Amino acid sequence: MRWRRRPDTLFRRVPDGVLVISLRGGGPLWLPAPGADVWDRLAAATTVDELVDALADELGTAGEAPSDLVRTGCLALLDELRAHGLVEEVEA
Amino acid sequence: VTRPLDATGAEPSPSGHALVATLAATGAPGTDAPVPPRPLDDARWSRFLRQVEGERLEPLLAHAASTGAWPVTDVQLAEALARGRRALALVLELERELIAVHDDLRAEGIPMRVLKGPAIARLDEEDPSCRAFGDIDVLVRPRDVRRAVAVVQARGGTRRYATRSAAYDRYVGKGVSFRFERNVEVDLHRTIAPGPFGIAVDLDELFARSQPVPVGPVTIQALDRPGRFLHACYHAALGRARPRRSAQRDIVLTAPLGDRDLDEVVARARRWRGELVVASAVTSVVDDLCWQPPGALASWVAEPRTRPASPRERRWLEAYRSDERSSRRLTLLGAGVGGGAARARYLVGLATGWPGARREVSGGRRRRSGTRG
Repeated sequence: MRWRRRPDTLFRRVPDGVLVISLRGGGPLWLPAPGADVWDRLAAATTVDELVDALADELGTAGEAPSDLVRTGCLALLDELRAHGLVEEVEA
Repeated sequence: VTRPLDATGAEPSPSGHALVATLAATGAPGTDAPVPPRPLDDARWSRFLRQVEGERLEPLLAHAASTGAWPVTDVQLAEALARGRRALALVLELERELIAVHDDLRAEGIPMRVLKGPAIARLDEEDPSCRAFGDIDVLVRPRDVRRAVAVVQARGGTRRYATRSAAYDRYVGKGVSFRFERNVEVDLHRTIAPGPFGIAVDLDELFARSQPVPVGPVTIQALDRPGRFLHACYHAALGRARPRRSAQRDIVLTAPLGDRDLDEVVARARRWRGELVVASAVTSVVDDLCWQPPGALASWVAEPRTRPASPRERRWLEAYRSDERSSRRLTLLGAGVGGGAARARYLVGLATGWPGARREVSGGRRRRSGTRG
């Protein structure tokens, strides 16, 4: 399965992340980095493994985050975004 | 830079209004206002923040502070970022309502043009995140006003001011304001200014020239660039006694860039009897934002003989600028515009909507005109 942004969303980049909102209701959500990086990558349908690899590569080079921690964070963020109607799962 | 600017007068420091004007000019082409050399001290920063909020420039401050274009301390940067996020959170809620109103109007076969904030942010700002706005402004054709009002009310919008008459809404008023939940406001505009200058606008021409603007998953029609510039000038010169700096920035961002663009703007302004309005608005931005307009526009503004204004148009402008300005007087002056059937319709609208002071329908502060910028 792949994840992507729902088309019925709006967002604005801010200097410290991105603000997103669903057209179906609910308030705006602020995603500071690295959540904003995840949002950027979800412009195209992406697997969790691809997300984790890309983020671990970025964060891991600084020695800040092992990939299992990144995976846990990614899954939690995707769950939250889905609960707010901001992302959806699509067939691979 | 980490040392705050000394408020005790160690070196000349610009006034708060000048600082806000400098911020409004940040990143806009042709502007050259001097940025403070170092961060403001705490007292001046607090005042500055309040002014920035009043001028709807919070996201621009956040952007400038984060890129180093505006000197701040670490604490000030955090405050600027938080204010910018708050302003843009409202922007997202407003754009969501814009899309909903657009879809509902389209379903009823009512064409519309989105005005000001969302259009300027996405078509004219280099980064849409630099432009905040406090409401949604939508232009509909006069013949569609009554049906458009019904559409917005069906969405849950509550009129800010009591109805005078359907004829008043269609032929006389600038527009109708609605309030929704969550601090969202939508203004349905019939024209782009109150009073005689608004009545003199050729609304068919204004509406006919459009430019698409993508807003999330939908594409909405905005005014074309000359139309956006003219509207920005009308808004700045004929709206509040002192225009918002964000409105003045809109003039800079939409200004005609060459002779051909200027010719189009001037031709429309002449047909709308609004050359004096445009010249006045441009002059104010030159003075307030230290703006050097593109060459052709600068030459046109500097040579009054190329744009003669009638005594009547001068009186009109004075009425907008007067300390005793009143919506009632502006409305009466509108009765002197045009002739024939159009004037008859205006007088019918005036008669059915007169007298009666405009009142808030539910709470909120009283305002000078029916719509806000």
